[in-house]
Amino acid sequence: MSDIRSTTKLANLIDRFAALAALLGLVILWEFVVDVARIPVYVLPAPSVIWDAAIKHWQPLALHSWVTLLETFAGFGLSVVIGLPLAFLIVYSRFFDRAIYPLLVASQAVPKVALAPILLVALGYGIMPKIIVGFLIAFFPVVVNTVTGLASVDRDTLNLLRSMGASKVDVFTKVRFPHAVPSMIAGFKVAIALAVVGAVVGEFVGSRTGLGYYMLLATGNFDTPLVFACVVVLTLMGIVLFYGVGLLEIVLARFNRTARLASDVGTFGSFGT
Amino acid sequence: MSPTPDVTTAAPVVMLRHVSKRFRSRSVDVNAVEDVSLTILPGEFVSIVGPSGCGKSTLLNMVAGLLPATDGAIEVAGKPVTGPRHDLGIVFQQHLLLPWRTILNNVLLQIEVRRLDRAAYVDRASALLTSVGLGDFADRFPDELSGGMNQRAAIVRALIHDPGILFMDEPFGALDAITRDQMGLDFHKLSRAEGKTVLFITHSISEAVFLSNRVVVMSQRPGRIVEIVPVDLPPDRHFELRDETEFARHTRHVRRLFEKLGVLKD
Repeated sequence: MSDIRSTTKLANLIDRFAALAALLGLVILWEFVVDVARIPVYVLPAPSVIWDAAIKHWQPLALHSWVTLLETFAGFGLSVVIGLPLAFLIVYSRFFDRAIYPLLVASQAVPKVALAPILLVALGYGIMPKIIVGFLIAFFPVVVNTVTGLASVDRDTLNLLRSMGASKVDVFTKVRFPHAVPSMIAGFKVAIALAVVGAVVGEFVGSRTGLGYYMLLATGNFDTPLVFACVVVLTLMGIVLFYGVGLLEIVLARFNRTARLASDVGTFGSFGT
Repeated sequence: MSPTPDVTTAAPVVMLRHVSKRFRSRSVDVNAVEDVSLTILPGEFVSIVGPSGCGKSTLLNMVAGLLPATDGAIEVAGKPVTGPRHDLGIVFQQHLLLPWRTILNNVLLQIEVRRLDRAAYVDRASALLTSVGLGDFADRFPDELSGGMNQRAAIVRALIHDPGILFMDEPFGALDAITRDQMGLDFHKLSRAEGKTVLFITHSISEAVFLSNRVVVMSQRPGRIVEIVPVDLPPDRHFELRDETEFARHTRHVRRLFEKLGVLKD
């Protein structure tokens, strides 16, 4: 989709890398402002100082990142493994639709992050409470987006299938599921980002490993550059995971024809963190 | 009630006796269709024409077994309709092609769902697609084709399993006027060539007269049959026909019925 405005190749190039260029500009501005205004390093370190900290501590950073990454994957995986069947049940069972789904929606008012201390008491200092917190925040967008996708097949299409004598399994495999893929993936994208949040919050509350723990440690030492380095690593992790899920879209490219739907419901369920 | 041609020749394909449909909502009951009796014979092309919301589509859905009737009896091919009928082809106003399937695979969905041998129908699908001018588009996706082309594919999907009966629910309603005329004529030829019985729903008087053997005129809600107008025009239809006085006589007749109902005002 080319823009009417971008008529030349150079304009196209600028257009494509506009966000990257803007980011670079901001980083340079940040470096400059910190330098000129002489902002103390423990308040706001310059990007170059953060970079140095990251290089210096790359080994523990990598180690703790690995733990957080595992917790994120487990939390996300759990939300998919439990969220998808739950969504199927909600779409196919009147009981689940009328009784469970409203409860599920209402339960989103519970600040799940606040459950982390309770989970800590119940499950200890290991990675389990982090996975559960991640799951608790991540599974809702998976369920909601999948339900929306499965249920948004229009009535005439279903009537057409009925007139062909289609079984429920046919309707699911040939229409509902492929129709729901784009919105499902949109839900996965939100979920994986939330699973990172869950893992880090879980680590804040009580942990001996993970980036959340490492950040607290660095804060205690007034090592602000290292705290920022952790934030940068977390951000990068989030971006990579987000696009990793996006790769699923390419694998399932044959359903991309319904991508318009995905952009309609893409941000659905991103609340409630 | 109204004259029905060739009553003696064959058993009716579609028979409705005193069919009514009421929709219940919390506060009021809506009478969508009231006391409709209609008989359609093999090979007939019958149109139902009426204002929006007169229950035409409801009627068609009931005959197709997609919606239960509140009162009355419906028979298709001599058997009472109790659930979705699988021995017909349906085309809706929207083409309803699945966007992730190619045109050919959309047509063959009908075959897959019916558990028929897919390979045996590929040739027929290609031939039918070619006959509606889509021969070169079998491997394209719906979003690469125009609305008219997609609707042609939808018609092929309704024909692929060779049903005796076709139900058309305002099939050309979403198309531009020129495409619509062409598709109507092409469909008329195709359905005659394949010997289909057609129940065609439209809100266009001239389309109904141009395509049909009989035009069923329905009132606004609650939908009742006002008159069944036999169309005494030659079986082969051409665009030229629309300029002739005989054609105009029929459309005028139908239009005056709507004027009497207050649906149309001069």
